Amino acid sequence: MANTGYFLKEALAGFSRGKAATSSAIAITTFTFLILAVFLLIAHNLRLIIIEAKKEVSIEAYIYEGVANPQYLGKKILDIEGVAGVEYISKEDAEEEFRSSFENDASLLEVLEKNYFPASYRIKLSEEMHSPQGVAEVASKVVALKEVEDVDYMREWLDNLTSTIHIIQVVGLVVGILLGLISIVVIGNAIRLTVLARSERISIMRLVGATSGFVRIPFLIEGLLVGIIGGAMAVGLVYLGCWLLNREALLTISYLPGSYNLALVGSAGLIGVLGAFTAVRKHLKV
Amino acid sequence: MEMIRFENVYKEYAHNITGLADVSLVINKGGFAFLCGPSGAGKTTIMRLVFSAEKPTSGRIFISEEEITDISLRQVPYLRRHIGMVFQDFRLLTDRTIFDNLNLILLVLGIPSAERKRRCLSVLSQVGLAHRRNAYPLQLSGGEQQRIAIARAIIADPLILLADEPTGNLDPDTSWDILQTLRQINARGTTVVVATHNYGLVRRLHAKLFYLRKGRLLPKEEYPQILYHEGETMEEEVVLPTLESTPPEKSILAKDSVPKAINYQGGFEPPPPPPDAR
Ligand SMILES: Nc1ncnc2c1ncn2[C@@H]1O[C@H](COP(=O)(O)OP(=O)(O)OP(=O)(O)O)[C@@H](O)[C@H]1O
Ligand SMILES: [Mg+2]
Repeated sequence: MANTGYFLKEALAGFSRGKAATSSAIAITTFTFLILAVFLLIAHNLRLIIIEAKKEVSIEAYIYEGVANPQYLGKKILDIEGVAGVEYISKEDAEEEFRSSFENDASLLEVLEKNYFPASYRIKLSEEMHSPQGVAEVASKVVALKEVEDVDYMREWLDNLTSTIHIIQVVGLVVGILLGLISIVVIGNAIRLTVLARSERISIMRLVGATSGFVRIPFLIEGLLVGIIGGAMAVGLVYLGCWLLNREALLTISYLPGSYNLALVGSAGLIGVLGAFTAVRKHLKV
Repeated sequence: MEMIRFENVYKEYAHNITGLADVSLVINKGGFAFLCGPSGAGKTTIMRLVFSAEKPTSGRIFISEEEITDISLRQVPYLRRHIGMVFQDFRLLTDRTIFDNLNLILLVLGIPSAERKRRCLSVLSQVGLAHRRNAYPLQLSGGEQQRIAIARAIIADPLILLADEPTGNLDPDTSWDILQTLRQINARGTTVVVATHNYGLVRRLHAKLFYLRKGRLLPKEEYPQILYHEGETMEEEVVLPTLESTPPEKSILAKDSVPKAINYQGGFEPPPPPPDAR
């Protein structure tokens, strides 16, 4: 376009001229997106914790006394869909495990004259089977094997975890949308102020025959810049915060993934453009 | 050819304030007309209707024989590119240099940069202010600002120049200079309309006269004697000798319709050599 140079120059000029209004618009964008980014960071870390927790999901399959070839059973279990790995725990291992967990309780251990513990397979599930239904499905297939006496898995724990995740997701979505809307309004208002300072300019340009597009474009570029700078500062601050917390070993926090950061900066830019668009539109009706 | 035509135009503002009442008038192409009348008579209102900053409450308005009564907001910019306007309060961009104020008009029209520069300097020397091109409007005197406002209004070579009180607070000599400038512009083919209280100027220049009172155009017999030299009466409009200017080939409301002297719009093509007539 022939006027690209002019539009860019105008946008930058508006940017540096309207110092007070522009920097407060950037500050406001930074602040609202900081809140949004911190919120996303918390949500992201919760998600990671949950994924870790779900890895703990396992099924304990107790084997009948006297099953001759546990390795063969292990292979059969591995063949079941959704099983990621198996670990054989012999009677001796089981007793050892028990003893080590009740080390301090001598009275309890004394009663143990005979090894009552059955051998078992500890079954790890693949990720897509981490839901309560998935675990139940695998468990029912395992228990159907003739060598398996019984299965055990942390049904209650799993159910609780699942409903917790559900609550976190719903609350997260609602808070996220709310924060998004608030930032649109707040940033829009800040940009409106930067435009208001130049309403005279807009009306003069209209009076000398500038099309609305021609008047608008520099403001849109300016809004984009305000949004991107504000968004990038928010992302940068969150990154810095994570880094400090990790360094001081106060908390171990995972950084927001790059795609989140990009999305944050991008939507800040978009909000900037939209804010500028609506702010200018009011003054164009002459 | 008719350049401006009002047919029974009414303009009412909110609260029953009358801007104009039943105004019919015609100003021919290449004409020079004065709009006179006391404050609040409706002079500015007529001008605002011409460049579609207002819409009439009723009646019809034609510019260059095209009806503009109900044009859309989208078409307004294209109309305005054919109309230069000198505002009562100048309306210059005070945070831009004189050069940038003028340059902006040509940017709006998409004129290439070298040609923009040439035209800015040419029009600035025409109003005698080329040496002040890097000054800001508020660093200029009222008369100088007025001349910049005129320069801006004519830089795109419009079909019509509307000047609202162009000699507002100026001394008689400066006022006369300004009027001479307007006549020169008129001599190039631009139709000039001047709203003024300055009856001294009106008396010195025989031109078409419209006298308004409370939004109504008075019949010629009732025009106040102050508009004429002693013993004189209303003369018919004196059309000054004008260079023949070509009528626009397409609708003045067309997107790519450009003010008449500019026929190379479109960005990167090299501008033609300047016409000798300049
Ligand atoms: N935007 C508006 N809203 C309401 N009334 C208006 C508006 N613009 C003009 N008027 C009224 O319309 C009438 C004509 O105003 P106009 O500005 O055309 O007068 P004028 O002849 O230009 O006066 P002056 O010589 O003082 O500039 C006045 O009574 C004025 O108050
Ligand atoms: Mg007026």
